[in-house]
Amino acid sequence: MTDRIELPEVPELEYAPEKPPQGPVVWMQENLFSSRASTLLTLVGLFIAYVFVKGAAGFLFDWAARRWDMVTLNMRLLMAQAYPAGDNLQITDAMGEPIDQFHRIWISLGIVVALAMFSFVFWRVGSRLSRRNLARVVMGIGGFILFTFLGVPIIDYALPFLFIIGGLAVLYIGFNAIREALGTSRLLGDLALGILINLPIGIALLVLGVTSVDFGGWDWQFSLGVHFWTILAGAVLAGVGWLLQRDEASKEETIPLMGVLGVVAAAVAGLIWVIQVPVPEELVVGADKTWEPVASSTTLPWTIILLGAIVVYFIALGVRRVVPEKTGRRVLAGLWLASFPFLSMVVLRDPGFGEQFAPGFDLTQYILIAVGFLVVGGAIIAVVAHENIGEWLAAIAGVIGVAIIYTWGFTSALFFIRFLLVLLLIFVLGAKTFGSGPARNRYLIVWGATMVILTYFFIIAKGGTTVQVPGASPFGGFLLTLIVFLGVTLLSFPLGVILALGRTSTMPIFRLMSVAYIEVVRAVPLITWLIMSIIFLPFALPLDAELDRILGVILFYSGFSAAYLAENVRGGLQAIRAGQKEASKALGMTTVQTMIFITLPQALRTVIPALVGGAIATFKDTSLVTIISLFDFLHISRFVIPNSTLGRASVRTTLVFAAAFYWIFTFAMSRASLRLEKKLGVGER
Amino acid sequence: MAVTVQKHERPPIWRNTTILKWTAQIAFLFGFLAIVAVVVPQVQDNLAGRDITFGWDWLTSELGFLIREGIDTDPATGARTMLVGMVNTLRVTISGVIAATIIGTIIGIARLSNNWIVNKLATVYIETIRNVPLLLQMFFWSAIAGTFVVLDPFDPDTLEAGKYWVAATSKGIGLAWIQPWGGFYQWMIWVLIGAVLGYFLHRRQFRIKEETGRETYPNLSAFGVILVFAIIGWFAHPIFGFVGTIVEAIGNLVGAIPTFALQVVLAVGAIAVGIWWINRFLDERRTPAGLAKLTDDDWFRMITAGVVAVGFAAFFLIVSGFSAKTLDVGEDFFSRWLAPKFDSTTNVADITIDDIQAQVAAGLSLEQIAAEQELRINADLLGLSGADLDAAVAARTPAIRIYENLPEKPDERLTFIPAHKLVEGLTAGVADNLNTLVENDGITPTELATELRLIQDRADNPLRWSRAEVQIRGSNFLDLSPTSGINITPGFFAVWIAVTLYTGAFIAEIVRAGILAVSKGQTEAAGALGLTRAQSLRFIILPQAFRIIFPPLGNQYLNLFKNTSLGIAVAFSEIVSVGFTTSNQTGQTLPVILFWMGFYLSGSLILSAVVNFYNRRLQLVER
Repeated sequence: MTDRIELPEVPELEYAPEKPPQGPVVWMQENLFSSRASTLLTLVGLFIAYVFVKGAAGFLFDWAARRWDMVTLNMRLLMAQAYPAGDNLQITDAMGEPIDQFHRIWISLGIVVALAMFSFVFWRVGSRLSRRNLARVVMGIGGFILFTFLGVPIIDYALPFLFIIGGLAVLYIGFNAIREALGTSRLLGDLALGILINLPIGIALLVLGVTSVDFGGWDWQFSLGVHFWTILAGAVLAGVGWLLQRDEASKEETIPLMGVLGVVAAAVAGLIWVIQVPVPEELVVGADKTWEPVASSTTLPWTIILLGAIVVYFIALGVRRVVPEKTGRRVLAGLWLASFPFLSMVVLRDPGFGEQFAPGFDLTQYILIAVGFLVVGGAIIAVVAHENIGEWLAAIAGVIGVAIIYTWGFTSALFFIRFLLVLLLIFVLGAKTFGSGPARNRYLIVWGATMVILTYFFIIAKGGTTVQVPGASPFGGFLLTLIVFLGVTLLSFPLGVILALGRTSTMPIFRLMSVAYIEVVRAVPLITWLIMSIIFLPFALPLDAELDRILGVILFYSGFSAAYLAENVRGGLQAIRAGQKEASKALGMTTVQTMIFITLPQALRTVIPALVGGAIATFKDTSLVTIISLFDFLHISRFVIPNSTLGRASVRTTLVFAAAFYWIFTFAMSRASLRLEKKLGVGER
Repeated sequence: MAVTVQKHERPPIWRNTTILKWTAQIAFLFGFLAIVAVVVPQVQDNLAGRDITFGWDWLTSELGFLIREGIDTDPATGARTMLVGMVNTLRVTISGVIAATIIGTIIGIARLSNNWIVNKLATVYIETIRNVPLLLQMFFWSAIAGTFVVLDPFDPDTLEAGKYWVAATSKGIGLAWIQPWGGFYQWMIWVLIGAVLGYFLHRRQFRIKEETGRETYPNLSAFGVILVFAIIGWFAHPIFGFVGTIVEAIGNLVGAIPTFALQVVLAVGAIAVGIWWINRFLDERRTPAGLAKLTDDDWFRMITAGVVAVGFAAFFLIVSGFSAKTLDVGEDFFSRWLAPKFDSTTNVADITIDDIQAQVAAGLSLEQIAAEQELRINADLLGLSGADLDAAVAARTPAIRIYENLPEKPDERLTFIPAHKLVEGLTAGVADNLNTLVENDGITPTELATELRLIQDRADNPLRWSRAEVQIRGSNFLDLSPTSGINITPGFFAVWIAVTLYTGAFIAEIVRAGILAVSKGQTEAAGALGLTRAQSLRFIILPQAFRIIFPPLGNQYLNLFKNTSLGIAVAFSEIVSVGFTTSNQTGQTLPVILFWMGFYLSGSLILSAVVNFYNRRLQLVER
């Protein structure tokens, strides 16, 4: 006999009715003046905002003291330091003509933008903005302009009266407290508060207010005369924004974010032809003109890139209809990974062949070695990837291992050979996990591709560069900042994952070494590691060997960053439930397979926000290379420009510009990370 | 039913996981050691090629460069140079931690305010500061500090030498400050007694309040007790003059301990800690059913612990220098550093205007009078016996000569004198200074006597109020007198304000997250009980939030500690900056880097140990 369970009728969920839109007065009552304390806080907050906006506006718009012309004049220096452009350097070719290599920067930028556009499409970045939110942004901008140019002067004028009102309020509260305290003869604290704090503050405010009242204070005509158009623009923006967000429909109507960005890009492409930038007076011959249009060597490439980006976006939309999304994403991820070495080593460095190779370098020898490894190594891998290989795999790996120990420890064979032997061992060891059965052909193709690419990079590393600059390296400015950032991010990732695995390993020596590495590296500040990379690394290398300083910094910085990354990844690894491991064991997976296919992907997915946070920190901390005299973005804005002949007394201006520039990138990254976090639903399970 | 039991076969040796694991690990370890074995001779070769031998001699030899700021701007040895750097790092770290915590808490709470404008201001602060590189902010503040010229906030146009409450020049910021004076250490004993009594009173009052619900003002009464003791001590502190003798006796006692005894104690201690650790480890693996099976990993841990303990013990026994140095430092601390601080009354010259005038009339020069007075004050610290001093004074030997004949350079010792800054003008070059005073500045004997009265003052008052003094150097160059008020150099200012604001922004986010993590029901329950918003924040929300906030807060403190190393970029003489100069001067890069690592490692470990200790106390005990 079965009991029937009567399920109660589920009532329809009733949501509380949406509040009707209210006017600004109600909003202010609720958010600014809800209570006496809140009103006081509003006044204090308003005062702080006034002080800061007044200070900031006074600082930024002080045309006499701020050298914005130094920023606009040196924009190319800031972005790419002395990367040779036809007009800014005296590097000439055999015929005496200046060499212009700057198009390489534009090409790199174009490639990155195109990749970004494809990625936007394939990862479906960009939600839809409601009209209300957009309108609120517009309203906010308008409101800020109004506050800066109208609100601040008004507060300037009204400040003494505000002080008097505030003083009276404080006194009133103080007297109340005293009266209550006396009435109950118990609240000792209130009495002390009233006498010790409120009375002095109140009296001080009163005195300050009364003594500074100036009835002729506000020069209406000046304030309105100078900033009339700005104030009008602010008022129009605020008004339009407020009108747009008023109606109920504005909440539902949405605009795609990418559309907004496209319009902005097109607008910037147009604006760049119209806008004028300040030029130092010393450079303007004759006329008193200190504003000039942007040079066409800047406007043209930007216009092409911005408009091209819009075109590429639509092309990518078309491609998405044909190519499956998953394949597209994989290809794009590969392209992103490949783009960094390709751009930094090939496009920007422009390797020279032929006579520019280092002395004693034999190209044929390298190619023969590479081909030999490709064929023989491929054969070995093909054999070990066979399913019935059994114990022979260990034997073959052992033979290669002995060869490695021999070549590294007891011979002075070419570094190329030693390196390829290690690579071969890695591929042989990985064959069973990645290359068995149907995956064998793919595995062989990966081996071939890796060999070809690595050989190419080994060869170009031996060759010179055609990009001739006065300094040691063609990279500088924001370009160097980006290269260090990307290099460190890419290199520290595998190292950090290995360290995290070591730290969570059950093998004590691996664990001990990982723990020691992570703790020592994390305990000591980054700057000491960077100093070590420039003053100690040369000692650790053979006397004749030379390591590029930038490369040394990237290596040490990656080692540092990896220790932090390892701690983040460890958090993810520890968050995985034991059941996952047990289940994969029950399925017959090996330890390595479990790690690579089960635990790591889950762990990494959990810690993506933390990893992005780490990347942001890395981006900010690339500025530390300034201290060890690498010419990164901060170094140029702090030392190079202010120390130049024209740029005296411009240090605060350039620093503010640099701060704004860094801010845009880090803020964008942190917002993207927030969206990613929401999208992944991390922490919501 | 037949049960077939598969015979357990031992796997072949190359399939045995334990053996495979250990082979791999030992191979890896050997690979690592092989790399080390290749690199170390390489480094030695390279160093030899540049005529540098790795060593620690620079710690004891004079380096010969000045440090911008710190407890000693002209240190005599490399070790002292590094000490100055370390103290500077700790100074900026401690003041930064305090300020950042206050700012962070305020901003974090403001971030959750219902008030729109307060909320937005906090958000703008956090998003601006957090997203701009710290080094850039430091450069910015340093650039700002370079342009300071405010001597008097109420009259910004003043540009005259004199004493000010606040004075900001391009050489730094001078603030009026309370300086410890002669009786400070005696007075601190009173305050300490008050604090201990206050603590017990607070506990008692709080217990009564909790049990009966009667308002007993625990905080107020504890504070009151401390205040009462401080006031009594202000007048009665000379009572504790005898403490100096006791402290000195302790110092002598420490000095009398034979080195070997300390060596044995330390070695036994190391072994004991090792045994304790292994015991605890075994206890953890002991179940009611007996000891759990130990894995190879467990054995490794226990053996490592044992080896480390034995290693430490061997180190203590073999290297006697370590124990000897420890005892030396201990003796110095008590006898030379702490004991003289209680000695104010015994050595202070009691001189009046009349005395001086009488002595002037008797034909003594001012310089002789001053030198004599000063010698009397410092005789003990300089290692002069009373008889020597009397003989010297009787022979009217000029003070400067007495200094020169001292066994040790006086300046080194004088840096231990708390009030030495005040007599520094007289000490550094007594004759020169007094001549300048009398001839150039036209100082009268009366004024000099007043100046000397100051020296007597330090016996009388525990604290002294001192305003910043602005001097004019050259034609129009404003400088701050190092001896008055407190001086904040531009470097210190830039580092301090940058790390404070930067860490404050991160702490604010932590505080906000912590408050949000306290369940909403707590706030509602507090409201239902009739607590006001401030009360519920103070008594309900914050105590619970603090438990969540504390561990990440400790991390931020560590970050702040490490971030002060950026001071090298703005000419602040912290450990990295000082070490960098040292390594440039001596070529001893590697030892300096090892020194940095040792300093930061121990600093980080101590800080995280403290954080962990409190964290364990704060955690709710569940189950």
